[in-house]
Amino acid sequence: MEPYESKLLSMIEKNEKIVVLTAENRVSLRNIPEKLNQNFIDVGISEQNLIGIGAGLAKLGFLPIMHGMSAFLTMRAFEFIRTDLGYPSLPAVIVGTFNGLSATANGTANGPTHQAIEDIALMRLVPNMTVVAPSDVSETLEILDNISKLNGPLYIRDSNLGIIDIQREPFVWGKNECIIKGDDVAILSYGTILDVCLKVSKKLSQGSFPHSVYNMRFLKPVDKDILHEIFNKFKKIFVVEDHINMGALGSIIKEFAWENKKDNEIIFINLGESFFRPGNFNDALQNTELAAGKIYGKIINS
Amino acid sequence: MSNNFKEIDFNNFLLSCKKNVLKMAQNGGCFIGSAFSCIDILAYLYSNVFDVEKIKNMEKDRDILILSKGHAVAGLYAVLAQVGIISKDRLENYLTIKDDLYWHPNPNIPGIEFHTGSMGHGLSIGIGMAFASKLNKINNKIFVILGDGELNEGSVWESVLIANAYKLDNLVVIIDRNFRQANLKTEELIPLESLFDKFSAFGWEVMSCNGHDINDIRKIFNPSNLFYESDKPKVIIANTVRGNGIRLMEDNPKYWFGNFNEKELEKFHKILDKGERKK
Repeated sequence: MEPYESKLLSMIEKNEKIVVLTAENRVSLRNIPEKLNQNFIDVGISEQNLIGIGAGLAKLGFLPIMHGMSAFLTMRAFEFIRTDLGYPSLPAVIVGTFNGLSATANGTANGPTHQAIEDIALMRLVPNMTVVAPSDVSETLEILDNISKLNGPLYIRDSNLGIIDIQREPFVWGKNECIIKGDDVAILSYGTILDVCLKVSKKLSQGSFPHSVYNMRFLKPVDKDILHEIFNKFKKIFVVEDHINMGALGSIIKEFAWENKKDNEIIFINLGESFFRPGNFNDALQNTELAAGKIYGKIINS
Repeated sequence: MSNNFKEIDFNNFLLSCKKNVLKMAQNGGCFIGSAFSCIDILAYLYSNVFDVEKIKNMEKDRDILILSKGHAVAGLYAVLAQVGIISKDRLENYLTIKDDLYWHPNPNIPGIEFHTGSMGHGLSIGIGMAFASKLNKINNKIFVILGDGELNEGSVWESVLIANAYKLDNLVVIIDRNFRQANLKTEELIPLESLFDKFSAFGWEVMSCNGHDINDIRKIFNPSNLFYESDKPKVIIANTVRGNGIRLMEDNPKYWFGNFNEKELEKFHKILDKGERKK
């Protein structure tokens, strides 16, 4: 059994109000449906109903954890999320998989129908929504540990079921973290691409290029404390994300800079406005601006 | 469910509700045609079937009704006021920004569970609530009122499939079958017939009734009706008339929505009082 599955099982043992739902997406749930009995509901390929049904459960005191592919959840079911979860601020968890350049199960091979490269922008638009993009499964489990405190919906951009082997700060809900500490430039990222940035970081360290790497997992509400820290400490900030250039971390940074009258130099590395060419994860990644070598080049030549 | 309003004269009760709706059909107006289409059933459910006190107190095993065709909310607010779930004075606030009474149901109003109005949401929500009742081992029923025009929405049919898959026998859908959607007749735009056969083929227990005949309504919604014993999700196709009770409004697309002046209101009040014709 995978760590994510064991986590859900142990949570439901403690809290029978948790209901696991899916729109027939079982990638992260293969081994648990039989064990969850009636606390597991597979609604079939119907994302709108997944959210509507979750909303009905949430209204009557249950905590739904709803699974599906990010593209279909955040786009096809957007209005249900906005009106039936966001507007009444119902505690409910949406776990979207296959988003950005998702490394999980070679999620880059699907093509544009399945690409969720605008999901963070969409979910940030939903009132009362919390948006978080964990970089590995250990972080996803930390997030799940906190969901009983929710007072509104949560979107988890679940992109990487692997484990990044690195020392982290203790997880604090709503707070982002500095993973690599150094001077000169800050690299800000989250999710799948955080791992790529850590590879860039290794190369930078080999060349004795001082830098910091920040894990910006909480995208809504914005962790302003860490942004003040970053903008005060670094003249040059790189914002690296597997998302289009609108509505996600890049936009958060621009909004923050404008609101706080900051004139730091900011370099945005993302998917621009376009779909990425599908292929195996490494091939797909190499073909974007998010390839480790390209990020590295931009930083040392800046 | 209880029958705590058994003794009242249902016709008078319904008349008062309809007059409440007329009050909302001025100074900005309301969807009076839609309201008068389903108000007989709403009035009966809240006066004879539901336990009003439990709804007031938001008790865990309260009766639940989702008015998925949210634009008919003037009918529901009129009934909620008549049974005392909201105060009648509150209807005076209709369309003023100091309160939450407007063209679609707001969950800040007691008795309203969700903000409906966007077509095709209510049934999925009702399914979630039916699941919740089962998980809570509560033996209540979840009622969802759908408009027939609303059946154009694909999300409704996802719900119809899912309710059957999970044998949600505590789910009761009422289709307000007035054969009208916003602008046109349903059968002229997107034909729905045979609706009975469609739901039957989808695995539902189907019944139909005259949605304006109190005897028919009473028979259908009687908790001892064998219909409720079926292990399938249930649907009642309520044959109705948009704007029922005022001949000028009946099945008249001009009166889907009504925003009347004093003179018109007076005329319609008189018609309601004397009863233009027997249905």
